[in-house]
Amino acid sequence: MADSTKKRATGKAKVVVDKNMRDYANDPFFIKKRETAEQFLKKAGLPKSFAKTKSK
Amino acid sequence: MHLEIYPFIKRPESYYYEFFSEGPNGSIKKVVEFYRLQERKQEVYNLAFGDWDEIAHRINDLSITNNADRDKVLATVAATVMEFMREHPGAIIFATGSTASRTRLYQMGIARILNDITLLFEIQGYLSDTWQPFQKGVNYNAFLLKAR
Repeated sequence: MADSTKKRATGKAKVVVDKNMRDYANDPFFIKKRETAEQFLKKAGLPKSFAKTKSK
Repeated sequence: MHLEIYPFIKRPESYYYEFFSEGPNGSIKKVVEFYRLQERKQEVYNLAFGDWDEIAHRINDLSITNNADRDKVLATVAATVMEFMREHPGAIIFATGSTASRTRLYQMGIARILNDITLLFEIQGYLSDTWQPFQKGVNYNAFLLKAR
């Protein structure tokens, strides 16, 4: 694992990039949370100051 | 931020972070996800985090860890937000808890670091069907954050 993990400086955050980290994309909890968020924002929308934020 | 945090790892090319809570109940893996919501023009990401259940092999955010490190865990999640925002300066982050008490926990975590991050980020809370600037001591239903 050591050879697949590289450290990099990111300010105060102690972050290490690990390409062998598990992929949680299909985790039921995360899927449910995404759906809940979509529904919430569909109803609530964004505040004006946030709606102006440009997407990439 | 001057709070103590756990070191964390991230998955390259995706938006997952892991760290370990250490305390009287042992070492517990925490996972944080930032997921881009597809139905939005803006770059809106949902922030979710929970405990990795080694037996069920899935995330569980309803578990109560009781590892005597709540503040350190919340500070570490906040650190992942800072790290994520460094790479996605135009992102908007949405967060809400799975339960009212969990949402209140997030609120307390935000309140604790508010003075440190208020110059960098705008934070709004959702209450009574409206978004409003985050204030300490108010119980919101959800939160939004973006860089100023």
